[in-house]
Formats: sequence, C-alpha cells, structure tokens
Amino acid sequence: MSVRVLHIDCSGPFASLMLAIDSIPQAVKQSAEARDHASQLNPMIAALLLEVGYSLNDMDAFAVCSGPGSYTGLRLGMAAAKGFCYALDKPLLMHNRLTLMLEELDSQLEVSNLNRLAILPARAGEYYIAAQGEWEAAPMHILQNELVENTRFWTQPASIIGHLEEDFSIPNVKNLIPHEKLDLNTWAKRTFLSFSEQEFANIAYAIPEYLKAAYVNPLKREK
Amino acid sequence: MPALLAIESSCDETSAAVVVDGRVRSNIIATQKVHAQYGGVVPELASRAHMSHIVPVVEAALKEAQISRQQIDAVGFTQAPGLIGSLMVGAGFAKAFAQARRIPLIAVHHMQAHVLAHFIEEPKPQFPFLCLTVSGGHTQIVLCRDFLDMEVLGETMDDAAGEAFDKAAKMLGLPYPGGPLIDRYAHEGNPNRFQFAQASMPGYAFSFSGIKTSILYFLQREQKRDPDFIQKNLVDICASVQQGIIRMLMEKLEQAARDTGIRQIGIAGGVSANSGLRLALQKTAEVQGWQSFIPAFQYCTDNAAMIGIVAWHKFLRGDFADLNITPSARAAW
Repeated sequence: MSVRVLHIDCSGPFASLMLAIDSIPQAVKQSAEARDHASQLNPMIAALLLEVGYSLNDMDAFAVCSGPGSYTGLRLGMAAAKGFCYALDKPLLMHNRLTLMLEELDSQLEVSNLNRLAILPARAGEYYIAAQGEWEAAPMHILQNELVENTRFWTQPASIIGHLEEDFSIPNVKNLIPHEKLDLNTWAKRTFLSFSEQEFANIAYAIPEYLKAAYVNPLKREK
Repeated sequence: MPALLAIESSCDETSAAVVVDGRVRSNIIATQKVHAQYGGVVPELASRAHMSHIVPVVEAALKEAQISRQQIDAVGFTQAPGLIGSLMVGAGFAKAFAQARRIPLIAVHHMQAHVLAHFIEEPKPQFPFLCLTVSGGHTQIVLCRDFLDMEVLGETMDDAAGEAFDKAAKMLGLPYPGGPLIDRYAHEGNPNRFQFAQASMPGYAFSFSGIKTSILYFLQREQKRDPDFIQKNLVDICASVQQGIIRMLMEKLEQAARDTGIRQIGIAGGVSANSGLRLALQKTAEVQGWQSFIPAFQYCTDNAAMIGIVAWHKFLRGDFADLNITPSARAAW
C-alpha cells in the first residue's frame, strides 16, 4: 500500500507544499507572494489536493520542515501541521532543513568528502549549521568566529551546501553547492523512510527548531 | 446539538473551550509562567509557549466536555486583537482543524468576547446593556444592543487601566503581574491617604498615562525624603492608587449610564477581577438602581469560553470565515 504524505515548508519567504506518494514527489505548490504564509497556506493546500484528487483525510501523515528559518513561518507551518494531525489523528513527521541539506549534499557528490557542512546565514556574522566528518555538529546556531575555529582544524577536504556571506570563506573547501530551497526528492525520501520506521514526532509537544534563544529586551533580561 | 471548539491565544494564556448548544462544557486555560521573571509578557516567548500548549489544552477541553474531535461542528478562534505571533499559533491550528474536518471556521474579536463573557453563566444581562471592559491592553465602555451588535462608546486614549495597575506595582517593586498584588495590599490600606492626578477627558474617553506619571513623581519625591517610604506606606499607597484608577473608571461608566438611560451594567476583562472595582460597581448599582453583572473570575481574564460564546452566535447566523483569513494585532469592531 502506498504512503501519502503532505509536506509543508514555511521556513523561507515562500510557503511550499508537496504531496509525495511513497518516496516520490507527485505534486508541488509554492505561494505566489512572499511572507504571506498566514493567508496563503490553507487555500494552497486546498488547491493542491483538488488538483490531485485527494482529501486531507487521504493523507497517511503530515510532514513539516521544523527549521531553521523565519520564526513566524516555522510556527505557522507547525501549527497547521499539528491542526491537521490532531484533527485527523494522523502522525506528524518533522525534519530539519540542515539535516536534509546534508542528505542532499551526499546525493549530489560523486565522491563524498569526509567533511560535510550544511550552512545557512542567520543574521550578519551568524549562521545555522550542521556538520559531519572531523567536526560533528547537530543543527545549531553559531557565530562566524566559532565557525572559523571549528573548521580551521579540518585536515581533509570539505564539501559545503548552503550559503556563506560575501567576503567570508572556509579553507579547504572542495565543493560548494548553493542551496536555494529544500530539495523535494531528498525530503520525500527522508519522510518515507521516517514513516516506514515510525519515527513520528509527538504532536502534543513538537515545537519548531528555532536553534536560537528568544530575544528578550536587555532591560527586561536584567530583572 | 451543535458542538463548537473555541481557541484563545491572544496574549499569554493558551485556552480552549467546548461550547455545546450555546452552553460552555469546558474551559481549559494554560497560563504562561515564563514571563514573570521579565516583569511583563515577552512576545516571542509567548508565541513559543502557545505552540507547546495548544494541543494539550485542546485535548483537555475535549476530554472534559466528553466530546470527540469528530463531534465538533465548527471552530472559533481569536482573530484580533492581540500579540500577532501568539494569535498566529491559535489561528493556524484552528484553520487547519476546521479544514481537515471540513467544518466552518469562525473568527472572533477578543474584545467582543470579553463583553459576551456575561452570557456564559447566570445571571445574564438583558439588552441593551453597558459593559465596562477593563484589561491590561484595553479600557472601553461598550453599548451592547444584541449579541453581535455592539458599539464602543469610549475607550482609553493612551494606556489601559490594567497597565496603570501593573506599572504602579512595578514602581512599588512588586513582582509581575502586580495588579492583583495592589488589590491585595489595598484591602489593608487607607484609600484617602494619598491623592493622584485624575484625567479629565471628553465624552467617555479615558486616560491613564497621567496617573502613572503622578504616581512616579510622587514616589520619587517621597523616597528622596525617606528611602523607606514605600515599605512604610505600601498598603496606603496601593489603596490610594486603586481608588484613583477606579474613580476614573466609575465616573465615565456612571456618565454613560446617565446619558443612555441604561440600567443593566456589567464589567468585564482581567481588571474586573479587582475586588475594589467589583465593590465600587455594586455600591454604585445600589445608589443608582442599576442591575450589575460581573462574570465569574475564570471568565474575567483571557479564556476560550468567551470566544466560544461569540462563535456560537456567529455560528447561528452562518457568519463564517474563509481559509485565507489572517490574525490581526489591531482590529476595529
């Protein structure tokens, strides 16, 4: 029996949806307007399902990109996914964008380097990263100088997927693969695998992976 | 009997309620304690906490009401006003729930809901009635002609009365939320001992920025003379502050009642839990011949039961929202 999963990604400026059957993307939709997930997400879902002739109840699970990204976008995606899962008693699948990027990197390289890094800019001088190889790091927020410290001891060449700020580079990089948006084939494969292995998130307590503490006004923080 | 799920997430309380045939069957409220250490609500922390609370709170509301998800006929949610990040979580969940179950979605105005909190339990006012809605973010006198026919006669031009309470408490060194502490200390104090500035505003408008400044300058002046002034006079200061704020509220409410000739008078919102305001309403009602109404404590502060009552009346009228509706931090009625 095939597994139908509706994928929701609101981590970037545009909301995107994908219906995957087993590990294959079947239909995709992206919002027309940037940063308008709140109004576009639900109508987009209705339109996508109409196109493919399924209802929400036909889904076997809902998958959400858990972060990092716009805090509001992440919450909108997660709130919607939770609402669908809870209303229909379906499982929730959560995947981190950086983890998926590392998987995408592996699938694109003919010969994988020992060191692999997925990297997305946060604000100036700050990044979200995940690393494998001589430096193992689960998805995290990191300052640029800390990034330099952790990569300077790489003795083997590295492959990077993502973006670095202009005038900043990491030594010993053999491949630099730009990353614009989530690779849907990678995500569909990952969700199918997670579904098969029943790696479900707890709907009640699942939260976005912000990877960064909430900003609290320094005047308030001093109290 | 139609069953509605109602969700409230406008500030720092995540709440869900189930309303069956117009009656509240459950009302679960998860109050976020995280803000106390910062002396006020931190919007980002509030948004994050709503995400953790929303499903357990809805689940508890359904369980208490003994209603299954499949039995829900519509979903009401707070659409405005409030903290935008907080509203987004409740709205996002509500929209998805309604879309998944193919049931109507109902957008509710939070301030309208505070007014209709009077219709959760007996005794209920008859129309038309006047409602003084007082909270940390709002101070309004509302003329209610029917469940969904309301008119704001006047509101604050600057700070809300609840904010004046909380800021005064802050100046006195009381922990957040300080409003209830002022109320507690005021019981033991002399309300006539100190006088603070009373705003004189046109019509039914309020202003509470003046009394805040007046309290601040008063405390600064007295503490120069005696650094222990607050500790020595805390209960009298609290009683005087409370009386000053309540006097401004009651003057306008009396004026509105006189002008409209309405004698069904209610108070709503978080500050309506203040014992001084409750007593002032009851005393004035006796003198003026009003019939007064005060919701039970759990329906004064932010709660989903009141959202459910508005949603119920919109449900009866078929007033449903589209899936592209978005929350709004500020919204007219």
